[in-house]
Amino acid sequence: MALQTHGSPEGIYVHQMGHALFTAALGYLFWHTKKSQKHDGRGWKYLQLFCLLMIFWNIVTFLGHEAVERLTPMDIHGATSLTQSVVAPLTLTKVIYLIAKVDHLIFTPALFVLVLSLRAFVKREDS
Amino acid sequence: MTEIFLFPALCIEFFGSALAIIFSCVACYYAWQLSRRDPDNFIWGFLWYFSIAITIFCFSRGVGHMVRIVLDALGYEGLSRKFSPWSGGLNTLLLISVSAVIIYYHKGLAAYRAIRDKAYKLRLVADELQEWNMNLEERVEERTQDLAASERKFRSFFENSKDIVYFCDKNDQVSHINTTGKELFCDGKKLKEFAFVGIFLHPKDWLIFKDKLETQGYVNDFEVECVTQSGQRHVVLFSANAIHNLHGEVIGHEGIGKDMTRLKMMTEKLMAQEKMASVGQMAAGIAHEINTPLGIILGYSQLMLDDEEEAREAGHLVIIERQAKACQKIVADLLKFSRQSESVVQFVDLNEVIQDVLAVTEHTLNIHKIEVVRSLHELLPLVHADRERLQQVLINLINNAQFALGDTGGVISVETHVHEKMVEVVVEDTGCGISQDIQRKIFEPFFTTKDVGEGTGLGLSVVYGIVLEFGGTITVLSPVPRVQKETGQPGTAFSILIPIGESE
Repeated sequence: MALQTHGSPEGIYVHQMGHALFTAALGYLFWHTKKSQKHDGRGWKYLQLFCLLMIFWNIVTFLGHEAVERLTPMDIHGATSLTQSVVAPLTLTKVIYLIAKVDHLIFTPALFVLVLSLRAFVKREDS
Repeated sequence: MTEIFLFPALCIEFFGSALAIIFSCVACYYAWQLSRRDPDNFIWGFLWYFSIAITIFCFSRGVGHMVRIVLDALGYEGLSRKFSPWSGGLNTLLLISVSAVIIYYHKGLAAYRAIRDKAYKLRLVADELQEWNMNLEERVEERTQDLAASERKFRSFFENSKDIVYFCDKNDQVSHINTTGKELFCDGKKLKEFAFVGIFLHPKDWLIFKDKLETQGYVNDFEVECVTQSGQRHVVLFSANAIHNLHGEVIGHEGIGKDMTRLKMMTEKLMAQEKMASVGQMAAGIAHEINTPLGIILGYSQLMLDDEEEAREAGHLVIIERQAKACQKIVADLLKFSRQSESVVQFVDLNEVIQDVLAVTEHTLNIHKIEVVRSLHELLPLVHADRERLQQVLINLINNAQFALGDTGGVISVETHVHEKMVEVVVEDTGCGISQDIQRKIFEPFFTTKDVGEGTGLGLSVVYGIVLEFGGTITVLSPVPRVQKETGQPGTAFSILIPIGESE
């Protein structure tokens, strides 16, 4: 058959690659805005902070996805997601999984910083 | 603790997702505002697309998370599991899209900057063109007025110049000549009949003039004897330049001529006056010189009156005759020197000129205790010059030497030497010398160190002019090392170099 098959692990592989690519792109944007003297001012500083936070978020989620792949049914207890719990003892995989579960603590502030950045640009345009 | 409940994390996930959607929407709004304010700005455009991609990603991710949590809470886990891959797939797609937007940012920015720079330059050119276009008529008018003013200025200069200003074509026909030139050379004559060569009295001058123009491209201060329309002779000092076309070919010449006739006449008059002043200076000495033979003549004449027979026997008449001839010679020499005559350039033996001058002056010099030493080259070549003028040069130098020696007397040496193409005459005295600070002034007219009434200050300037006229040079050396060593006096030596005359 000429068609390439796409088995079950391909989805997570592509997703992880997406995270890696997004990390690299953000890294490039951070480096470029940092080195260019034309990109000076508060707006650019916030944008650079946004890039750093999003890079951090990407790393956390990347590791989180890897941790999920390594967890066994014995490590998570509970019938529904509302009652689920991580069973002791805590291993590195479980700790990473727990941190990744609260990735919005990084992701949401990052978006707030993006708002600040764009607002600063608008203010500068208006001034 | 045996387990860690994930419910708080689920709450963070739910509300965090909601906040993320809100923040991304606000970011999107600001980015839109930016791109609306400056639609041509690439960076704002990029942030606008970037924010859109982030917002869609936040929606996809946040809604996915929230729906999953709600479905789980409502007990539809099966539906949640079916929905999850769709949400995850869309998230992956949007992750890659946002990355792609960022990656293309670099190339897009470079292209934007290049286009912006070119657009800026084009705008400048366009603005300039527009300005030119709007003011074109005004500028043309202004330029025309400038050109007309310039033309008037140069025409006025051309027409009103008291010097001759002319333009010739390649056939040496005068194409333009100003009023001064017309009055002199072509009064009543049409320009097309007027050949520039016609104003040259001596064809040889024209050949030299033409040759210099062709070889050097210019002629500077070239003195020409010209004949005017009315047949008068004028001395004109020409400076001219060859005119070239774009290929470097000579297509004519242009120049300015200054009528030097009056100046020349005045100079000659001045030189004659200076000569007469020299005669005056010599006259006293000569009178003294003549007085001696006249005294002898008188004495012998009285003796003859007493006894005519004895006088004849004693040869008194012979003595009288000899002394009278001596007087005659002295007066003849003086007259010879003072004679006003036309300048005649011919081949002259400088040794002869020196002997003639010393014949007049030596009597006076000897009275003043001055010894004259001659050291003349036996085979001295002839020079091409005016004999009378050269005599004037030597008389002046000897008079100056006599003045430098004063009442104490001394030695005046007159030497002639031959160099490669020059003949040298050196007049040297053992006098008081000339200090360094006045040496550079001595050839200036009216410069004199003599008391009022003793000198005109023109002697050496006339000497300088005459030597220059015959293509020679004159230099002064004081103190003279040899004289200083022998006599203790500084002494002065004037050296004149005159080119050896070449046969035509």
